[in-house]
Amino acid sequence: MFLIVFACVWPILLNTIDGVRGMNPQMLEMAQAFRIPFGLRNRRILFMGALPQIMAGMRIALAVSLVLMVISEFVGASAGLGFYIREKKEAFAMAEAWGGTLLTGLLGYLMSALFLRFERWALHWHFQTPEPGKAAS
Amino acid sequence: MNAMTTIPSAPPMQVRNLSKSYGYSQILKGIDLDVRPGEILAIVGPSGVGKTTLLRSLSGLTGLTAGSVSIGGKVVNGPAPEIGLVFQDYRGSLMPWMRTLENVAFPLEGKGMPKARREELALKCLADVGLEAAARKYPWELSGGMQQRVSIARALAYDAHILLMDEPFGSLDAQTRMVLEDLVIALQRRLGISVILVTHDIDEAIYMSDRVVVLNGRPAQVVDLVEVPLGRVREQIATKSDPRFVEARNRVMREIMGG
Ligand SMILES: Nc1ncnc2c1ncn2[C@@H]1O[C@H](COP(=O)(O)OP(=O)(O)OP(=O)(O)O)[C@@H](O)[C@H]1O
Ligand SMILES: [Mg+2]
Repeated sequence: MFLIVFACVWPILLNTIDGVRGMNPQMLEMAQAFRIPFGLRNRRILFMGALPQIMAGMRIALAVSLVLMVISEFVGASAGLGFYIREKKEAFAMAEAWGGTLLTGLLGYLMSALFLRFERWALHWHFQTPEPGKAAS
Repeated sequence: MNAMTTIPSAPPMQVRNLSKSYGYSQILKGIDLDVRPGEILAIVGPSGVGKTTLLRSLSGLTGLTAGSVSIGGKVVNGPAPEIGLVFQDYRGSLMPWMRTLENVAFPLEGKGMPKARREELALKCLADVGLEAAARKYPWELSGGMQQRVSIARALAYDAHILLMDEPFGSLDAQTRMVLEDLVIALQRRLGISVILVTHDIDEAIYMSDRVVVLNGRPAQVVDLVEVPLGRVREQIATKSDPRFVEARNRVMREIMGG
């Protein structure tokens, strides 16, 4: 369990740093010029500006966590999908073992589809905004 | 009633012996300026002379190497609450995740104003720039000219008495540009704010302003301060064909081109 959390933190953290670094510096200057307080600036500008990258990090973390979960159940658990697959395999019930594997794949697919939905909703503005750089008209 | 009309007039701004260096290269040297309450002051000069650097120094975004800036008799260090900044690149200064109304109201949130009050004020200021109808839209749903109007509304909502604009119309087409020039003139007349306008367009500088500051040299100094003798009523065609307009333009042009 600890391992899963640990593995998930990294993609999110690194992406967040990347997102904050890639932030348009003019937005931060705007915040400075209008004397936006530190906390408000972080919440409404830095966080929102980095959100696309944070979301991307979360997407990776989601996949990693599913894989890690099934594997860890596979080696050392007495319940769960991974355990089910191993149990059936060791009982030579191949159809069930494959079924479990397939279910894992399906679960991954569903989760990422759901997450993509959520991302589209939370970042609807991001998918509408022209890339910075090719902006000037 | 607009937020501004409650204030009798903008505070005067004084710049004394302002110098600015980046490392070993001095950009500005000994700049003295008095911005009169309620005037439009244009700053012109050749490209790269240091106009943006001067405006950023006035806005408090960058520190001075020497000299001082004071507003209403008080020396300012850092961004002052009396100043509203309008950037050239409106795309980078409006936040795409906020609707127009939220963008305009955001600095008021920073001031701790309650939500209902700040939205009411933001809506008023959007009306001032003729954009009431776009309050619920996102910046990326608006044209460049409309986005720049939003930036202006934001500075007004912030209750800025002194508007600092760095080439605010630089990336707009000629038509939109003229409309916005007239909008800023009209807002100045109605609200009594002061406007400091950096532009590379000499015609625009003279058309809009009461006085034109000409920067030139390396490091840049004020080489001329032109009083524009065109009265306070400006009209795109009549004003620009006035012989006094042409005379002022030729004078400034000569000083910039060094011819
Ligand atoms: N952050 C910085 N660090 C070092 N040098 C800088 C910095 N910003 C500007 N300069 C230098 O200062 C000088 C003046 O730049 P500035 O942007 O103020 O000119 P400008 O008059 O606004 O030009 P333009 O008309 O092209 O906008 C330039 O030589 C530029 O290279
Ligand atoms: Mg500039």
